[in-house]
Amino acid sequence: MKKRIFASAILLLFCATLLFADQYASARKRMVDTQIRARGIKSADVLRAMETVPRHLYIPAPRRGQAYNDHPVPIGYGQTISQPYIVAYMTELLQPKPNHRVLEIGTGSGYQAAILAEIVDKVYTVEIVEELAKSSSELLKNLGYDNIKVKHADGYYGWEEHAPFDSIMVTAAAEFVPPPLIKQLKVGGIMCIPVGPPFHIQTLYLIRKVSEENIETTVLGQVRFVPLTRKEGN
Amino acid sequence: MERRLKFVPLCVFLTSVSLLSYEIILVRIFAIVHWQNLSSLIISLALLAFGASGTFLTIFMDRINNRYPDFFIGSLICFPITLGIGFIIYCKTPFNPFEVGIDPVQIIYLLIYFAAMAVPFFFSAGVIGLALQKYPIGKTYFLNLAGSGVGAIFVIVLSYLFHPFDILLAVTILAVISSIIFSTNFSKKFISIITVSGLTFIALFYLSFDIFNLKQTSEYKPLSRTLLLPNSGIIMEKFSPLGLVQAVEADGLRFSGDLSMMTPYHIPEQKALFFDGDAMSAVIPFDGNLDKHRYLDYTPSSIAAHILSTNHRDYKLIIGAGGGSSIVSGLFYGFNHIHALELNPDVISIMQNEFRKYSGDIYNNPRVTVFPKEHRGFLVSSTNRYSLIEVAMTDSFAGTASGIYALNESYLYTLESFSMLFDALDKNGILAVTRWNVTPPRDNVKMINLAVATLKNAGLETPSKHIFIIRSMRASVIVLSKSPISETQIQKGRNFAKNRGFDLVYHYDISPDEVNRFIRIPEPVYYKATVAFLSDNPGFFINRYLFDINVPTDNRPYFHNFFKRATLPYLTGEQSLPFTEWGLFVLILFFIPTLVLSFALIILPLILSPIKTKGLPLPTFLYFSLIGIGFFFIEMPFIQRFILFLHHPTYSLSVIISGLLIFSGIGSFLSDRVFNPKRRIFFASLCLVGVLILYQIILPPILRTFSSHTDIVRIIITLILLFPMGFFMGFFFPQGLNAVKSTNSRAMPWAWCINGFFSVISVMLANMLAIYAGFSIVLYVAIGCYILAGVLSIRLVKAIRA
Repeated sequence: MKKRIFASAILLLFCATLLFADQYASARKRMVDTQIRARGIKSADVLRAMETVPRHLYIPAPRRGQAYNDHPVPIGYGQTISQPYIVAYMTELLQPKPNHRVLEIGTGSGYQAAILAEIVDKVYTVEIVEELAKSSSELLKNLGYDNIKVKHADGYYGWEEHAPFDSIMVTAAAEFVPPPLIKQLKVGGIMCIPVGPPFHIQTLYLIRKVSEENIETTVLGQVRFVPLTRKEGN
Repeated sequence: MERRLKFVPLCVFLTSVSLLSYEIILVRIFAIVHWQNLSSLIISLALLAFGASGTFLTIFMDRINNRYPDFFIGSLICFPITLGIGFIIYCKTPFNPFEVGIDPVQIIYLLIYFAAMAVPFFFSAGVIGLALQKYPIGKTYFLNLAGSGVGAIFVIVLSYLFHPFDILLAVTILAVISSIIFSTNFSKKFISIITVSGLTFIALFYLSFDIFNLKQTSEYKPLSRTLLLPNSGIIMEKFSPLGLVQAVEADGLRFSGDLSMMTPYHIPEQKALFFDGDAMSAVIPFDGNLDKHRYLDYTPSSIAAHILSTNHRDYKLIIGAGGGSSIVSGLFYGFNHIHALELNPDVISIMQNEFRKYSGDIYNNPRVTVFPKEHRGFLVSSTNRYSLIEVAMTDSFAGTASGIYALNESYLYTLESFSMLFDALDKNGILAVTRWNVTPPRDNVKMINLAVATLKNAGLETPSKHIFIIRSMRASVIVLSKSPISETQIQKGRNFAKNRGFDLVYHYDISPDEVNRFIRIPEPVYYKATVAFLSDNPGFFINRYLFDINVPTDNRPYFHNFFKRATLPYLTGEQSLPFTEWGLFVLILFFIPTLVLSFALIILPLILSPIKTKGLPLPTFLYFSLIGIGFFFIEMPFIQRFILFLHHPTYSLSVIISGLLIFSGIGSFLSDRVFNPKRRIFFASLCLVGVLILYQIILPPILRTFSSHTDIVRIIITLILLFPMGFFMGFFFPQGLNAVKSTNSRAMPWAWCINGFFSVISVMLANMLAIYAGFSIVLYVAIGCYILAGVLSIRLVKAIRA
């Protein structure tokens, strides 16, 4: 009798897992269709990555129901996982190629690193908050991302031994762009920095290292739900 | 014959002390846990409970009268209990104002917040309402106002001694004492029960701070985020009415207020001071070797030192010295004398003691003098003229960018304040203002408008020759020069910007293709705005701009409010601005349900309770609503005037609030003894309006004459000026209530309820009106309210007689 009950419970659990997994997969597809593709993200690599990575696994269990909603979600420690569209938009801005080596400053839950790792060869990600570095490292390892290296360190110094990088994404709040990061960027490389408090309009900065002496910065405008098309201030 | 209960007046007094203390300390705690912006709004909403207690008393009057002592002791006991439990609920509710509009659950959390804060107000107001029913109104109201006035002082004094959370415990103790005192009207057994359970409750509440880990700030505040850094910790904290100062150390803590990407120098790790968990100020490790701080030359605010000639570095004035990075910068650029203003004595104490060695004792450097003063108070009494005045990064980026200061007044960023700073420059001096850039551009656009208005206000022939603006990735620096900027200075500024990858925004010789080159924004909006402001018709640009970028003045000191009608379409839908940025609109949004709820609870007793007396409800309603509005409408503009006179936000508030309340209490106490009873309110109205009109004429010269006198003299002058106003303001409520009570005692709590609700409405209405039209309009409305109340009082007395 006990065995039967146990077997039934296992079966039920399995069915529930399948059911929820299916729900999440369809939510993810809907997210890509309505929030990302519909808003002009064209890169096939980015769209594929966004469709592949199970975003809900990077969100604390009580908030998992919001994983595919069109807004940022708190992940604890005063951090958020960015709105899906912003993740896709920033990834596309970096123009990642399979042979690229990308540095991320601010691992958070590891979602952005996972998206990048679906496209490029190597992702190096640095997180200063020990708890987040540990949890994201474990999660990414369990999910089989062996092309992502997580380091618990001060992102100010980048990751010199793996430099230079084709592109750098600074997702941690920074008062300024740390000079070592500019040094670790290849000439011709791109750095993308979203600036702004959590849950708010973020300003995206795109920095291009034209030469060792010439650095161009473009403010791509504000991003929250969609990039504002009106002219700023008018 | 009904039994007279002992200690009712004492309980009214103690409850009023704890009630006002609770209100003030709740605002402080809210500012520490979250941010200041919504605190007063939420608490004024919680004050709806004041009016609700009137509704309750009106409806259940018969039952209450039958068991008056039980209801009285019940209210007294419930006040501290709900205060404690409500506070725990408040702290443990995961409300995040940034998620309002994103996550619907936040609305529920917000409602829980309101309820947790409102219930204690309901019971404490019940104590006062019950006392007014049975005891002489003038005396009871006097005790209520005097107790509130003492409460304002009580909490300020305790703020120097205890952490704000611990003050809440003191307030609870006071409320429990009040219950124990009143319990002496009952049996000995009951007294013992109340005493033992009261003490147990206090002990449990005290323990709950640690058990429930209540002393926590929002995880989104800069302090919480900094504490996530490795090896981080709060190494000391000090508190005063000015706020909580916490010194923090952590690995990887670096702050520069933006830095050029081209800097070849590293920023050393620093320590930091946080104010109410926000507004971080860096403390630079300084051993006297300025070479270690060459990176300072790559911060945007250094432009000022580059534009000044090297032999023109006599006096530098710093507004808000904080952790002292501007002082180190002043030493780095070779200023002979640095005057640093730091209002917060705790910051000065930390820098001169605990951080003395770490900071290289810069606060005691022979070239540095620190003044514990606010800038206006300092400049009024100073004859110095400065080569450079620096106002840099006075607000946190998180706060600026998320709009959380939207409802706060700022007396630094007003035309009058900037004109004072500009006047204090020597003949070639420079005023440099650095602020964060936010998107869409609004903060620094308004700042440029203010800067240009300052130049125009100074009567300069060609203001365009006195302004130089640059923009870095995160900040803009606006440089105003007393003398026309020379070509050499322009060249120096150009070189500075070019070598650091900063953008030129404006100088009089600029060409449009010189702007927006390094850090490209979609539109060179700052340049366009500067050109527009300098033109003959800046109004065209200002009116068309999406945000309110009008020049803030002392009459409308809302630099951080950017909301205007044109912004409305951008508040909702996909292109929405965050909720915290809505400023004035947040007030409007909260105002509507407040109004609806207030009217519902005012009308409810008319339906459920037989209080109707022919002709009485309308004059009663109008009279008590007018005086409910009028009181705060007077208080608010006078707080503004005396803040500027006393040069200190906290002292001003406590002096004005306590003074007005106590003087109104005296007025209330003596109101039975002056004037003809038939026309008493009318005459009081004439006197009050006369005083207010007279003050419009005589106050500015009086305040000017005494503005440079000592603090004590200015406080005495303030109190003398407040007395006649407060005295007559104290007549209206008790005399009106007496009139109602003499005819229909059932209507009395209803009048109390009307007054309570309109007090809440008046707080919100006054704020809206001040943001939209300025303080002077608020005062005119107050005058109108009291004139009408005076006229209505005749009607009210007639209706009662009839």
